[in-house]
Amino acid sequence: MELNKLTIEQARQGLNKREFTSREITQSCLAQIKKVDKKLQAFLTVTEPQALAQAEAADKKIVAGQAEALTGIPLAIKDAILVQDVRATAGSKILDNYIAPYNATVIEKLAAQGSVLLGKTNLDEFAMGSSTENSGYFPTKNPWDTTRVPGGSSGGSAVAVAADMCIGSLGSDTASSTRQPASFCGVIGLKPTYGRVSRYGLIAMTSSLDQIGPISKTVMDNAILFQAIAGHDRHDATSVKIENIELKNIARDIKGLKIGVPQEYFIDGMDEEVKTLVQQAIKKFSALGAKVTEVSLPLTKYALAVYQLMATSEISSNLARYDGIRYGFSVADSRQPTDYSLMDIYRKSKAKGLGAEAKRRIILGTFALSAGYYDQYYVQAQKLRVLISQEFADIFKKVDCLVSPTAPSVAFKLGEKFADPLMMYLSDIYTVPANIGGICAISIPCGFDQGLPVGLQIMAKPFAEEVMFRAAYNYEQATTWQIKKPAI
Amino acid sequence: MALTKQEIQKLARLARIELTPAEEEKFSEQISSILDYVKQVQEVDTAKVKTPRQQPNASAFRPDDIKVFPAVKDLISQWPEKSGNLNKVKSVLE
Repeated sequence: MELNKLTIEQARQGLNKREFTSREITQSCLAQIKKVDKKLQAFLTVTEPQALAQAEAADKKIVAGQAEALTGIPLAIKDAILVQDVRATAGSKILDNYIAPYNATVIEKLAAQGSVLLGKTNLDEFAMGSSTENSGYFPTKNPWDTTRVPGGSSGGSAVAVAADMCIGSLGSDTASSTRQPASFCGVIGLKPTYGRVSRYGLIAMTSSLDQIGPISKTVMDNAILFQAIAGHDRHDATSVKIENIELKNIARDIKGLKIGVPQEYFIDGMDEEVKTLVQQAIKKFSALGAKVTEVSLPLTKYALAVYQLMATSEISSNLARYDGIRYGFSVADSRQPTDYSLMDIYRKSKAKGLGAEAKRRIILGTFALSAGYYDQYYVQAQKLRVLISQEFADIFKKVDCLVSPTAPSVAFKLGEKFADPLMMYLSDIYTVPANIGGICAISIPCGFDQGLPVGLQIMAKPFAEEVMFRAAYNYEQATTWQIKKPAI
Repeated sequence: MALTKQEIQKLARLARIELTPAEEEKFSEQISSILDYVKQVQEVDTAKVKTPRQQPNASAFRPDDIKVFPAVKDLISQWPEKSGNLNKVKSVLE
């Protein structure tokens, strides 16, 4: 048995029955990383000694009869999430030498259960991008076709799951970043409701939109990971005190569930085969007893422009901290004194440490917030955000879930959209409204186009993850898309 | 709306970031095309939307109880220039 191929549920069962140990699963994942990651480049850091020590501790916990849902399960973590004493780059050369001095809250929660952390996965610099090509280190490759991108920004986490280098992983999602790579790699990616999961220890990009979410092999695995990381945290004032999901409710049928299909998510220019596959999935929901209706969300077309203005504005503020004074790359160096002024240190440290996408977004955000333009760009975007949230709230009075494609195409070629930022941004067009509206959304596989996975997106109102998971679980149980694995 | 190279230079000064002439050139072109795309937000009448809000659950309050951060040494060790336990910086007023 290849233990690295197990799902969380299968691994849990086998561990509890003592068919194998956490050390054995962990070694199997590490062996797979050694075997395929030279080609795929999903990991920035592999923490083998720590992982093996955690696995041994987990095995003791299991023998003592204290196993929890994730005890002994090897996971991969997006490198924007802090793991104490492990390098955290956020995919940026400006944090090349940064060692995390504390654990993110989600890591504390996983550690408390005795999960095994295999290492840190590649991403677009500071999670800015949709292809993982903006990483300051190297681009990650799609396991289904290594000439194609894995999506982004959580490309490394999606590839680590799709190529069985781990049992599950964590990513983060600000506009598309767990869902679009999950779609491109044939796995499951969740963006929880804003406020569900603490962002303490997540390196900030767009604070009013960022959420940490799991990437997994099955819907139930995703729900298990989500349940483990969700909850209020005193360290994140935007996290909410609300009841967690119950896994048994996810397996209930969907007879009578009201599903809306927003017509604005089937636009000219999208891949015809993606459209066809999503329409077939919608028929499947009807066959499972859901009541499917067509709905309209006319403000959808503005979501990406609103995102661009909000994200760049917040980025210009959030990235100001990388100024060469407290941590990260600096042109100031005790060993080699220079005659640089304070201003030189700010300007030159950023110039050398940051990549093109980060610099471009800082400049655009500085513009959107500048005197004379603030009202027509930033304030207008904020007001539109209110209207988009309202539009979702109104539609969710009529339906329980919305179903759409996750992305307008399958994984594109490396380099295809890299030179044209606007083209790249447009690949987020179906995923970004969920972030703007503060709702929850998940991407699950719904077929293959030219041998490449296609993702289906299910959205639900804020804090309705349970019904969203239920719809996803029922569809998954009625199909076999997740069984096919990439030949690496 | 097009941003000139001079405007890009001004924004870079405000953002405390040094750009190469090639970056100024490229960003002026790319940001102008992004601004052409995002200007569509101005088509929508938002006169009735009173105050831009945060996410509904933002800014919850809690008691201001002090907890000591345990890994202070790890923070200090990352400073690029230091003098004992002090973060050493260039003079702010020249």
